[in-house]
Parts: sequence; structure tokens; C-alpha cells
Amino acid sequence: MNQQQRDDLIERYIGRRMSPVEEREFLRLLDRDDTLRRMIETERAVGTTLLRDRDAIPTSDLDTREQLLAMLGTLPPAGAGGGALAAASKGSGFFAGTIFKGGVALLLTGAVVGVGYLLTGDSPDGAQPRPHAASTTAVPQPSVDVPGSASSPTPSLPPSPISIERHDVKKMEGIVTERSKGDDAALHSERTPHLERSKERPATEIPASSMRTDLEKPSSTIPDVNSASAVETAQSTKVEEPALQTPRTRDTMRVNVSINLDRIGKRPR
Amino acid sequence: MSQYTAALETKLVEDIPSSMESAGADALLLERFQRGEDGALVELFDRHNRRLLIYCQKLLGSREQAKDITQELWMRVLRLRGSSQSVANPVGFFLKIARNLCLNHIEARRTHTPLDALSERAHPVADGGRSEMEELILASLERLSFEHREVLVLHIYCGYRLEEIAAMTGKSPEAIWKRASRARKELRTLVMRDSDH
Repeated sequence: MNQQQRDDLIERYIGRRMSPVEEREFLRLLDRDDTLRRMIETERAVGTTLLRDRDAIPTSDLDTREQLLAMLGTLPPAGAGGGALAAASKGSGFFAGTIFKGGVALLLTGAVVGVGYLLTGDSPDGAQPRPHAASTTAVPQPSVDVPGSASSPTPSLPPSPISIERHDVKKMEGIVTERSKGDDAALHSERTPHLERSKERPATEIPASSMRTDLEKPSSTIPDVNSASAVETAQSTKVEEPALQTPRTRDTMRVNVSINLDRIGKRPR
Repeated sequence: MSQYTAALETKLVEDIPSSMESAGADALLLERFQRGEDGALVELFDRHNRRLLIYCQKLLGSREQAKDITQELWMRVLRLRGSSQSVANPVGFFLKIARNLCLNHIEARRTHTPLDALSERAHPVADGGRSEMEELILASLERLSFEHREVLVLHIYCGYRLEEIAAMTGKSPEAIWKRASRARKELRTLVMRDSDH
């Protein structure tokens, strides 16, 4: 029997293509043909080894699964179309990344504004109730004392963060006023007493003299050596701070911080 | 001997469900994923990643490279989301991607082979407590041609029947049967020749 015949026999035997008679003959042949027996033994060893090797292979791939889940989490809704997905999966998630970064930057800016108030410890526009300044035109804008504003004598200086704070505060107080109409009455009463006061006293009823006092009052916490009013106030007599100013200012700051926390969904209860 | 082959077939069949039986379910899952149901892709992953990983690992000889390939594969499948491309045989589709990626990887390895990219069996520390005969058999498997190694891996390691392999690869069952036969013969010859020395 030549090698080709042996190969054919083995192939038919493994493939179960032998009749029972042929199979009995084949088993008898194994006793007589050492080469055939050795080939069959090798075939058996190969099969056993490959199966053992297969069972020894670790098959869990949690890394890839986690990666897949993470990728699925970043995908836009299917309604956005396959083109958007194709673009995202090809690594051109530039726009999505930009939008995300912009959102984070806005949140960080808000947080910085709130923290800035906490650190300065005073309001840039003194004891003047902020809602009036923000919501009415009848009240003179206290921003004349704020460096970096339009009326500042040193417009070439870089804008101070205070002007940004003022801008944010106006927006934030508007939000707080809207919130106060909602169900969160306890929170509102705790955080916005000055808003209640501002409602009770319309802006048109504020005497001009009191406003002048506020504007001419020296700012002890935020000295602005470049502004004309700072020079003027440095030469003026010392004005006692109203007792109400500090708690009210801190109250306002607390509102700002709370709003910032609200916006990022982390306001402590 | 017939007990051996019967046991082999039984083990393969009971370990891994038939891909032919699940082809319809796979196609449905892929369709659901294409319509935006992300959980369907996770289910497809859980059903097939194991075999795809084994397939790549045995063709490349490296688990790390196999993981890279399967990751790339699933990233490509992700691109089908939202598309209307119909895939009748998802497993065949996955295997085709994996096969092409493996071939690309092997081709790239021919020109530049850093130590890390060497087959794990090529490292002296790769001995996992196997006998000399087992080491010889596994080393011989890696010496087979790609097509021969592939059909044995798909049949023995991944558990696909030869008819299923034919359906997945688009070949005739006879062609796959012949290829598997030649692969076994080549492997057996290599082992017998090397064991004589």
C-alpha cells in the first residue's frame, strides 16, 4: 500500500465515509500496517492537542467589550444618519468634541465667576441692590466705578474679571427670579432676600441721593487705582460701611454659586 | 477511533451553537443595530467575539494582535449604524473583515517584525506545560499555509462545520472539504516528519 492509498483510507475513515464492512477491514489493516497505525495515532494526537489548545485559550475580551460600549455611548442618535456616524467613526469627531469643550468652558467660566465673588468678599457695586441695577434703566449704572467698563478712563487696560462677573450676575439673577416663581419656595426665601426687597421697592422710587452715595462710596475690597472715581474716593472722607452690605453681598454670592452648581447639576441639597 | 471523531464532532457542536441556525437571528440583530438599537450590537459581540478572537489569535499567533484586530473589526461594524446596507450573513461578514485585517497584518509583519509582534510560540517562555509532541503539533499548525490553517482553525477552534465554513466563505462545500482534507494531511505529514528527527 502506498502513501496516497493510506491518506485516502484515513480521510474516508475520519470523514465517516466507510461502510461497516470497510471499517472492520480498516481496523484489521491497522494491526498489520505500522505506517498506517502511526498515521492514525498522529491524527489522533493532532485532534486532541488542537482541542486542548482551543480550551486553553482565554476567550473573554472585556477590554474590547468595554471599548465597544464606550464607543456606543458617544454615538449620536441613529436618526442623525449614517453619514454622521461614518464621520465620527473615522476620527472626525471634531465638531462633537468642540461642542463638548465649549459646554465645559461655559460651565468653568460660571464656576470661576462664582468663586471670584467668594474670594473678593464684596460686590463691585456696593450696597446697591443688584436686581435694580440689572433690570431697570432708571437706576444709574454703577459700572462707572468698574474698571474695564465703557466709562472707565483707562479703556486700554485689559478688562477686569469684575465686568464679566457683573454681566453674569445680571443673567443669573434673572434666572433666580424665574426660579422664585416655582415650587422651590424654601430655597428662594433662603437665598434671595434682596430680590424680595427689590420687588418691594421699585427702581423709580429710589432717591437719587442714595444712589449717589452708593456710587461715591469707596470700594475697600477692589481698589481701582486707574479709575477717576478711585482717586476721588481715596481723597474723600471715610464712609462707614452699612451693616447690611456684607451679608447681602455674601448672600448674592451664595446665589451665584448655587446657580452655577444648578447649571452643572451638582447643587448640594 | 470512531469514538474519537464522534467525540470531537460532539464537543464542537455542543460547545458553540451552529452559525447556520443563528444566521437569521444575527441578520436581525444587525438590522436592529443599523436602525439605532445599540444593544443589538452588544448582543452580536457577545455571540461572536469569542470565535473571532480565537480565529485571529490562531492565524496571527498573538493574542494582543488578535485583540487589536477584533477591536478594529467592531469599530468597522459600528460604521454600519444608520446605514441601509443589508448584510445577509453577518458572521461571514465579520469573518471576512477579520480575515482581511489578519492578512494585512501578516503582510505588514513580513517587512518589519519587532520582537513584540513575534508569535507567542516563538518566545522561549511560551511553554505552557505541554508535551514535546503537543509543542510540535502546534508549531506545525503555524507552519501551514494561510488557507489550510484558516480552515482548520475555523473547523476545530471556532467549531464551525465545514458546510458552514463554505457558506460563510462563499466556497462550495466540496472545495472546503477538500481544503480541510489537504490541511489535515499537510499537518499530519509535518508532525510525522519532524517527530522522526
